[in-house]
Amino acid sequence: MKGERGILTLFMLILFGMAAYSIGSELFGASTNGYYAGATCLVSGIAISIPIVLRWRDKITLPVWFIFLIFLALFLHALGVMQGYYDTLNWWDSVTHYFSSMMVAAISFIFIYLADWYLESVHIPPRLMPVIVVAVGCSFGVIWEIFEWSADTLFDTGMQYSLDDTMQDLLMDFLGALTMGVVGWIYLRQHSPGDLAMELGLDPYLSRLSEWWGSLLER
Amino acid sequence: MKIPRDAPISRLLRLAVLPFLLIMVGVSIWDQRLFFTIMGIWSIYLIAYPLYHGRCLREDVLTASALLLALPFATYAADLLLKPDWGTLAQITELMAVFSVGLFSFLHLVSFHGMRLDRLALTLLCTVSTISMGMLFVLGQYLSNIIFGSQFIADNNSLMVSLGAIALGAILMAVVLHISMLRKGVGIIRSLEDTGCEDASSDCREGCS
Repeated sequence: MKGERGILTLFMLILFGMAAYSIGSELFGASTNGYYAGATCLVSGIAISIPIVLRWRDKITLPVWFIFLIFLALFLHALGVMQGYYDTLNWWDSVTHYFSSMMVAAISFIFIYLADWYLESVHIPPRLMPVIVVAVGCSFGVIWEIFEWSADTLFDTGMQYSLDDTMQDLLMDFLGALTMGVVGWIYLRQHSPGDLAMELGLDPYLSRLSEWWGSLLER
Repeated sequence: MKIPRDAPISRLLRLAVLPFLLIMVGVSIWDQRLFFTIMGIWSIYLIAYPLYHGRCLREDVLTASALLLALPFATYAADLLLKPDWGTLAQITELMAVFSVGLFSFLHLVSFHGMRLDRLALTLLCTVSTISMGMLFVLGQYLSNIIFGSQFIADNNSLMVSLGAIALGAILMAVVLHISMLRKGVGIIRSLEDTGCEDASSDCREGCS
């Protein structure tokens, strides 16, 4: 338990440390994009702090592997912005897309799993769960690319480079979602229905939510 | 309502639509259109499953899905034979294929694989099913570009216009679907509910009426 607390603290320290380093490097004239990189790292640090603090306070106890996945996606993006890897390493964008897509698919897996467990009106057979997780992951990938393209068209942000680049992003989104689909399928085979719901500690809230949803559907 | 093997719709599908799709799959392999090959094989599965697996499906739903799935291939065949200067129409045909396959893959999952969904879940999953099918569609096109050296996607802009049209169309379709379900209930898509079968495992050949 102590080790786990140490690891989670380290996740926050790394991202906040990167934010301080980036801002400091621009303040002392060692970098020209330090404020932007610092802001990215700071937002990432705040984002990773939310599930960690919720876990420590026993509000929502997300599994540590899931928090690690969120950290990895945020860390790789922040590092890419800070060190300029998005511009210097042509494979960096693909790696971040892969892990971001895995993260989105993992979130969708948890949502679908909880909906299946708590809502009487919803039942998704375990063998179909990975298919839906992959579909949701892919859809988010498409929506993200449309967002990038819209930003480029409207504000000339330069987020998309070429056809090959966009297609590689989409391919990585697909592979990331597929990986999470396989992981989710293995998880469902090894755990009893409801395990994740209990582990998350959301039972009191979600039981009430499912009752409310059921009454809403009956109207 | 079960569909007997000698019913006109069953014969039309078995003797005309399925062979036509089989031929078009062969043609698409020869024409190096990976997209139509994949879509064709999947469409054949979607139509043949209720026909040969003996599962119940509303006759109107099956007819509509078979015709919608075959329509893009009819346009593709006309395109090959007549070579008209259709330009945008060819692109619309491909988008139509994406919509048909996305929608009916989803319908297939709901009808035959034991899924139970409420209105909101139906609408959301129908949307993601269609958008993800769109993504697989462009990945297929891109693979065609790489493997066969063809140029079905000209540039990043045309790719994004296709993806944007698919996403927008999927969202519009979901809104229409949701409004229809508010008025007529989930039964309009849960085709099994109106066939008299109690669940997806019911078999038409074993007395589901």
